[in-house]
Amino acid sequence: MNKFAAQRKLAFIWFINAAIIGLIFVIFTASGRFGSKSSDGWQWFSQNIVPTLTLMIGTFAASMGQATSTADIEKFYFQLSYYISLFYFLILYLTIFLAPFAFNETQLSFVELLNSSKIYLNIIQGVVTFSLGLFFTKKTEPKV
Amino acid sequence: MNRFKMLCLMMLASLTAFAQNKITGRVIKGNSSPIVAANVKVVGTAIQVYSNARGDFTIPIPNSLADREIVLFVSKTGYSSTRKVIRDEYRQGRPVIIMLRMISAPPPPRPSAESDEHADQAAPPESRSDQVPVPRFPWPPPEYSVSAVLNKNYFRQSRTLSDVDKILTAALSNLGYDDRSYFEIPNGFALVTRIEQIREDGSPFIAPARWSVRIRAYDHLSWSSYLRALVFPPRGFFRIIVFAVTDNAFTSSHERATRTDAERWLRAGLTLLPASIGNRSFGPNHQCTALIYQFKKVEANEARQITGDLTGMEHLKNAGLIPLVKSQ
Repeated sequence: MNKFAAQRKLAFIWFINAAIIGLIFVIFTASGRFGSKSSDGWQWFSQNIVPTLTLMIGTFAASMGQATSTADIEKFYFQLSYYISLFYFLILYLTIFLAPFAFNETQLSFVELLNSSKIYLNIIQGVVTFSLGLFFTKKTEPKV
Repeated sequence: MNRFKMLCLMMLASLTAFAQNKITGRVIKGNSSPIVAANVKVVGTAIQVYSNARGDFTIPIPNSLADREIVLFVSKTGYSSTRKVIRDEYRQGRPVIIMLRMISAPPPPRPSAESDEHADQAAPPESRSDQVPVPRFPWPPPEYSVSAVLNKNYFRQSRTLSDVDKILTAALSNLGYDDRSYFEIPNGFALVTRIEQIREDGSPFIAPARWSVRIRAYDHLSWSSYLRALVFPPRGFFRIIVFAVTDNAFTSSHERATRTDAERWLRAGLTLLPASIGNRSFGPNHQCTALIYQFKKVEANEARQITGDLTGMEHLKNAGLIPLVKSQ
């Protein structure tokens, strides 16, 4: 499949979800959901989303001047990074949306929950970065 | 050689920096004598130490806390616990002096025959249930959120303090306040109810949530309650009612009680009103004042005492106490 189109699909997933989570965090900051630890909440956001997002922006910018638009990539690499990214965002959303249940069960505050989630999110983020790395480096020449 | 000197200087500097990463202090009581084995804890961490025989303590502060505000929580059984915010001067080696107030003490000398005839007639010393020393409630009472003086007419049939206690306990029992605690106060007694979780309007939750110290993000799961719990931090309100029956005018000591103090009152007092106090006469100057201690807990933070939006009387009405006291 065309690599540029695949890149756009991946970027769409990342930018839309990052914007949604960013908006949720803005609302949380305004409503005092983080208490006095707003910076901890935003640190979670910047640690889990911003690195991959900037990596994508960087590769996009780098590929702008090249002939990437004509390059192809195996569908497998695209689907791998696409579904792993979707799974990653699913876990991010679950961490946020399960907070009320987690509090009722364990009295864990929202910021404490976010901090604890770094343990498993770091592992998944590693897998995401690996799959995106494969995606960005692999390419096949288009069939003539 | 220069490199060696530099290395020595760097080691010395790092040692000096390490030496500053501790807080020293002393825990004392009212008469400045030391309190031994008081627990000193750094809030939000697992760091805790105990004061030694001179009341002194030293807390090592890890580098991770170097730039943060440090709050010490100091407690000792029989004393009101306290929190101390550590300012910069304490980090620079100045010792912190922390004073704890005693919450239970031996009973004061009995009032003279002239001031309390009934007591002497009806309750001879060392009689019946008075073998146990009666703990004293901190007096003047710690700063309460609100208060309300109960109408004297509710107690018009009362001749002794025990009669007043009967009216109060009957009403309290009807409302599920089965755990109570008695203390001696000047010329009277204080009756402390168990801490209960309440709604913002002062009405209590239904048990077991009422007696639980855990707050909940939502009570019944619905879309609206879930969204509220998601967007806003969970919070809970707690209340302790202290009925102070005395003929002494009083004001608060202006010292804030923590929720831990308030919870300790229930355990530190007696389960029954001792006869030595109960048999004293309920004079024309006696009043029953309800002191309301209200606390607000937001998410996992420490509960803090608040004034709240309700008056003392609204608290008592919404708790359902007033109609029951009236009908006794």
